[in-house]
Amino acid sequence: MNKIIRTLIILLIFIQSGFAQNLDSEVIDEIEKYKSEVEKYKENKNSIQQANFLNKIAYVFWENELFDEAINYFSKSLEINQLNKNKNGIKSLYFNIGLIYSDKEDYQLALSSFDNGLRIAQQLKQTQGIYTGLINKAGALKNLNQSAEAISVLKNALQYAQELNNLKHIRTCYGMLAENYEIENDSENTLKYFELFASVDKHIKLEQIKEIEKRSKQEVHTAQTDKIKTEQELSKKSDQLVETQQTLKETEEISKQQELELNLKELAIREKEAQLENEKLIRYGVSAIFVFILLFSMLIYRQYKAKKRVNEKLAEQNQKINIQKEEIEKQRDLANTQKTAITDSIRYAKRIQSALLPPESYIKRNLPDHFILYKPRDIVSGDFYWMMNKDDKIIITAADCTGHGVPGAFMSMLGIAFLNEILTKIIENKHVYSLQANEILNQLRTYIIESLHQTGDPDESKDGIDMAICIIDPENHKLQYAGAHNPLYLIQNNELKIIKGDRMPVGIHKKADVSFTNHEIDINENDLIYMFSDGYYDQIGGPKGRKFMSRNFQQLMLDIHKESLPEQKKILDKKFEDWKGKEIQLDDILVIGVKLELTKKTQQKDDSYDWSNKVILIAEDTEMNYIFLVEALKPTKVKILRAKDGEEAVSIFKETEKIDLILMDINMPKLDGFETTKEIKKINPNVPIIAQTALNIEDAREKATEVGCDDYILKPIRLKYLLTKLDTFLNN
Amino acid sequence: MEPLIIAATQETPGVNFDKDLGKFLIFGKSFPEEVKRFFDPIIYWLQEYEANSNEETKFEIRLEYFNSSTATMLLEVLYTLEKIIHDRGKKVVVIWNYLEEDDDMLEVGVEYSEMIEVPFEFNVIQDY
Repeated sequence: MNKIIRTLIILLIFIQSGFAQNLDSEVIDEIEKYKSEVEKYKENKNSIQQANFLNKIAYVFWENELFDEAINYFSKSLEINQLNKNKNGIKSLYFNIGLIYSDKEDYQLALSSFDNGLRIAQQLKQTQGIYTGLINKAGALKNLNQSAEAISVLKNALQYAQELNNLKHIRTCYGMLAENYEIENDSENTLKYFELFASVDKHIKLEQIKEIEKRSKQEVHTAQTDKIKTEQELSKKSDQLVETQQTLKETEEISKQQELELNLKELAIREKEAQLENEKLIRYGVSAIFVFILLFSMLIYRQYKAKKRVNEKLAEQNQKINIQKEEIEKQRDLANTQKTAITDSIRYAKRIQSALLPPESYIKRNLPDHFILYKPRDIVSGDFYWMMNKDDKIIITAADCTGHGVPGAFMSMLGIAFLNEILTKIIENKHVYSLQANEILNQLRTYIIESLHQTGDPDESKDGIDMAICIIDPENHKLQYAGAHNPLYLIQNNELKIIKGDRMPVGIHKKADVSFTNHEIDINENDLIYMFSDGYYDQIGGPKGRKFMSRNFQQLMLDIHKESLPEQKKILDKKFEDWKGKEIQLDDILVIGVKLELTKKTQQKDDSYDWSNKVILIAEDTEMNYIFLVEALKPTKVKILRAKDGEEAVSIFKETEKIDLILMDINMPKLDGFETTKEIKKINPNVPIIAQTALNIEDAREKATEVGCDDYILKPIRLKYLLTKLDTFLNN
Repeated sequence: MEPLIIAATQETPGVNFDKDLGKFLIFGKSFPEEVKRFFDPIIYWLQEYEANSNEETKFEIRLEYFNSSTATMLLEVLYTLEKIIHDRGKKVVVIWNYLEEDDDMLEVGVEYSEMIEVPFEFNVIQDY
């Protein structure tokens, strides 16, 4: 059973290989297409095309190794070509068929086919065709093991190849000759033809390489030319770049220059602006001073007017100030730009402020033993002092307004004006207001809050006054004190007592509705009181640049309180300057010292002159007059020297060391009063000489002055007049 | 907040405010020509701080001398600190430094402490 199956399978494979294999559907389609063309051309009797397509079919079969089919179709085509006597076509067909037979390994049939083709090629005298035929024939002969015959055919083919000058053909011949000689075992010829084959082969390959080289050289050359072109473009572009850079540089330079010019212009502008600022400042400064001066002038005017109700005056004042203010604002534009003008103006204002302060003589009359150390920081001061005597009570205050300089001075003006008004009101309305220190501060506070429209708003000014105020009642040996911040120092029995002020200013404050405290103190003769602003003890100075401090100030006062008041002032001043040194004065300085004299001072009486340390020379020839003078001068305890005439007067004067005054009679023997005066004045021009003369004419007075008399007194001499006059000269 | 550091000069105080370090100090001498101009930025800074303060603030004042205009500005500073307690409910204490022998500085500090509802600590120092 297995045997049968095996045989069947082999048969099938055989049949398969023999008959048509399973071709691709594409190929089948192609063949069918060609077949239809063949039919078509056959119908059209187009034998050439018919043959053409038969060839095509044959080629397809040949490619797909269906050799028999291929031969079949080539044969059909051959028939047609033979009919058409297409020798060329016949030749080709014979060769194709031959080749197919070779592929089939049917070499005998191949050979005969090749021979047929060759014959025709020879007929046609086609060298190429002959060569092809011969080579094919040689191939077939080799395969039929007829190598000797193949060699002779090959030698023939070689000739044709050389005729064609075709190296490839020659090579093929050499190669095949070598092969066949090898089969013939002719080693010599094998080698010969093999070498020939190799050299031709090499030559051919060289040619090929050269061809390739040539072709690559061409490509390189093209590449190079391209490169050069690109380089040229590049260099052109870089040239352009350099140009552009150059232009850029130039532009930069220009812009730098322009920048410089701009800077210079800016500087010039700024300079101008600074200048303008300066001028503006000076203008404003000067105009502020004008406001100040005019305001001050207004206040003076108020002072000297009759006392009216306060509010009316104030309202009037404000109106005037406003009008003036408007006028001044118009005038502002005419202001001068000199800096000294400002300072000069302030100095003038200082005079006004000084005028408002109580004059020294007024204070001295009420408080003979006192000192006031008053050193404003700037020209005008924020500190002020004030004094008034009413009903034998003396009211005195030392005050320190917020700030210093012009703003402080403004407040001080208000302070002084208000104090005057308040005291006037109190005194006029004795039954309503009591004269109390704290009452004065309370009222002053009200005035200030109202006039500055202070509401306690955090943003508004909190200007006010720190002050100490005392009311001295010598009769009752009582002292009232009230203070806003500033204390009172009281030295009694070599002890310093501090009475502190309330911790609030005269002005708007949290506790502005709380009354100031009134302190009542018993005082004794020769007690000392001191009132001051914080300027003194807050001054920075000394070796470490520290404040003087109130502690040290207390000690200082205690140390110097036994000195005379003028001496104390000197010491305080010096100590201050020494402490301050090179530092600037930080604030206004005000220190008031008063030695309390409680016994009533009577008018100056005759016996109140005390010239016990003075010497008077009386030049008088008339005895009666002399005695009168002596009697008159007795109470003064003055030492008297007598000269009976001018000569004696001169000699006494020369001999005596100290003569404080000379009473010179004019009518004297030997040397009259005028001549004596001349003489004595030559010796000592400083000694006061009072001429006594009965002469009542102008001439006498003139002459007296001419010769150097300091004064004259007319006879008959009135005693009081004499003493007063003498006092003037003796207490110089 | 950026710290506020102002160098002291002959007439103006040094200021050293640093929220992160919890340092608040004014020291030196204060008598500037233009008081408002100097103090406005300081008060402004403190107002900003007040809106966003630390839980606890120790505010140190170590002034050797200050004029009356400065005193007014210090009051403003203290009012702002007061606000931190009243409006923000946070803690503040003012450390008032003074030389032992300087009764005046102590006195001023006591007066401020009576006016402002912020606790004050009075601290004696030996030197500035």
